[in-house]
Amino acid sequence: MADTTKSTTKKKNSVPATRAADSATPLLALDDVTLRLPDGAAARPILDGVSLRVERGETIGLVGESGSGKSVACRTVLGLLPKNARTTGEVRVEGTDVLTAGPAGLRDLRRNKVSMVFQDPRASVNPMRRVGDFLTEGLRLGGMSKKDALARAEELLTEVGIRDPKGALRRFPHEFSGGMLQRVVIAAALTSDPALLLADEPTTALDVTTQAEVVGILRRLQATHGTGMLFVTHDLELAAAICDRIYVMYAGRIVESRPAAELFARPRHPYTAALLASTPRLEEGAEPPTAISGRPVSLAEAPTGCAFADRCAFAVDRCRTEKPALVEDGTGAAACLRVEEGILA
Amino acid sequence: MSKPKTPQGGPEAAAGLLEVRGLCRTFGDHKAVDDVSFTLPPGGSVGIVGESGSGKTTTARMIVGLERPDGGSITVGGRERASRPRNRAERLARAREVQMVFQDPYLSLDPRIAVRDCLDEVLRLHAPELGKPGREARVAELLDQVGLGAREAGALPKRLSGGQRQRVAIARALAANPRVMILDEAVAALDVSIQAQILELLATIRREEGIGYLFVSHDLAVVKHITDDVVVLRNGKIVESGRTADVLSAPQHAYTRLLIDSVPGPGWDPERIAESRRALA
Repeated sequence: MADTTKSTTKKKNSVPATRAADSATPLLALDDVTLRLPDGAAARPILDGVSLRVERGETIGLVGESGSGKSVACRTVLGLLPKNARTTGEVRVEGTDVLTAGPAGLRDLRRNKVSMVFQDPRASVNPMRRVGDFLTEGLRLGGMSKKDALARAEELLTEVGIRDPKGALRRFPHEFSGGMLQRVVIAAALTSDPALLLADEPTTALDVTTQAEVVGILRRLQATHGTGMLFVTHDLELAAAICDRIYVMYAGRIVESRPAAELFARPRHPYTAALLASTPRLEEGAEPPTAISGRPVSLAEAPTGCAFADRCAFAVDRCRTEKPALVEDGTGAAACLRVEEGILA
Repeated sequence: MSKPKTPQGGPEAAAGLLEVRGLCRTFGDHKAVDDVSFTLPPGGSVGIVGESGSGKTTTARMIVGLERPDGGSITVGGRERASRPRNRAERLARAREVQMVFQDPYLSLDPRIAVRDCLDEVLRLHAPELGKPGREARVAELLDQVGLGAREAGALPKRLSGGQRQRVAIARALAANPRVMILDEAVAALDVSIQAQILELLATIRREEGIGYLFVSHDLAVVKHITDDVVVLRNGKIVESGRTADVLSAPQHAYTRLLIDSVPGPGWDPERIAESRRALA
C-alpha cells in the first residue's frame, strides 16, 4: 500500500489541471479491470477484463443478473473493493487512477467528483439524524457555512421535487416514504455537484409509478448539470428506456455493448438475446417469456471457455474450451466465437 | 359472518373454487383492505396487482389464514374460512385447501432443515396415511415435479440458489395437495432468466394439477403471462377487475392506465407518467 500512497500525492497536485484541461480524457474509463478475491474465496475472477467508458452527460447502462459483477464494477469506481481483493487494470476518473489512489485521493474523488445512489434508500441514510444534517454534512466538511449549506440543501430538495423542502430538512428518514427518501438520497448525491453519478439499481426497491418519477428526476438533473451517469440494473427494459449505450455482463465479463436501441433490435450475443426473450413483456401480442435453461455461473465454478456455453442454444465444442474475446463490430462489440456466423439472424 | 358450512361439492362450489366477498381489514384507523370481492374459478388463475400499501398482501394473508378479516367472507369449495378454526382438524383441513408461496426464498425456508425433511414434515401432517415408504416416494415425486434432483434433496437451503429455493417452496406447497395456491410476489426476487423458468414451471403444474392460482404481484408483465383474470387494487379498494387481456389492452380506470404506462418499454416517458400520477393523487 505504501507506494500507492506516494503515487496519489503526486497525482493530487495535478488534479485541477486534468479536470479543466483535457476534454478528450473520458470522464470514466475502466481498462481491462480484473478483480480477484483471495485464494479459496472464489474459483473465478469477480471481474474479468472489464473495460467501459462513460463520457460527460452520457447515461451508460450496466446490465446483468445477480453475480454478473455489475455492482462490483460500479463500486470499483469509488474504490470500494471487497476485502483483500486483488486488482489489475485501471479505473480512471477524469484521468486519475482510482485503484492506485491513496486515502487522500479517494477522499477527494468521493467528495468532489463521483457520487453514488444505492438500491435501498433506508440503508443509505442514518435513521437517527435529520435529513438536513444528512444533506449538509458533506458541504460543512467542505468548509461551507451552516447557513449556506442549508440554503443549498433546500435548493436541491426543491430540485428533486420534495414539497416543503424547509420542513423536510427538519424531518427524520422514517417520516418519508421509500420514493421520497430516494429523492433525498439523490439530492445528497448532488450536493457536491459531481461530474459522475453512479446509480446502483436506484429504483429497484420502488413502486413502478414511483420508479418512473425518480428516473425522470435523475434524467432532468443530469441534463441540467451535465452529469455522466453509470446506471446499474437487472432490468433490460428500463436500461433501454433511459440509457444511451448498454454494457451486458455475464460471470464477470462484458459480453456485449451497443447503443441501447441497437442492442434491443439486433442483439448479437446469444446471452443478450436469451435475456431479452426471458423478460416478460407487456405489449399486446407479446410472446410469453422463454426461460434460459440452467443457472448463472457461481463463484465456485471457473469455466474454461465461454461462461455462457452451458446455457447457450448455439454452443459448439469450441465454445467450452476457447475464451471468446470482445470483438468490435459496426455498432458495438460482442464476445462470442460464433458471432460472425450470424447465428441470431 | 359465521355462515353455516356448505357440504363439499354443494351447489355453491360450482360457481367458484375460491369466493371472496366484501373482505375488510383495518389496522388502527387505516383501512388496509376495503370491501374486496372476487372469484377464482376451479383451475383458474387470478392476479391481484397493486403498489405497496394497496392491500394485496393483506388480502392474500387473510385468504390463507395468517390474518383475521374484520368483515366479509372467504370460501373455498363452499366452505367458509374467514372465522377462527375451531380445532386442529379444521385448521389442517383449511391448510390443505390453500397453500402459499412467499416472495423471499431466503426467508421462507428453515435454514436447519434439509429439503427432503422440509417436504416430509408437510406430508406427515397432511398425508399421514402414506406411511414412511409412501412419503419417501411422494417426496421424490414432488422434487421431480419442480425439477430438483437427489443432490438438492439432501441439501440445506444455504446450498441452494434463489431459484432452487423457490422450487422447494413450491414443492412444499404442493405437498399439502392444495386446491388453491397463493403466490405472493413469488418470482419478484428472482433473476429474469430464472423467473421465466419458474413461470414455466407454474404453468405446467397448473395444467397438470388443476390447482387454482392467486397471483399477487406488482409486475404487470408477469401477471399478463400467468393469469386469466386480474383485480387491480389501490388503497385497499378494487379500482378495476376483469379478464387480464381486456384490462391490460383497454384499461377503464385512470389508475390502471397509469400502472401500465409506468412499465418501462418503448415510448416510455417518465415526465408524462409523473404528470398523470399527480393528476390522480
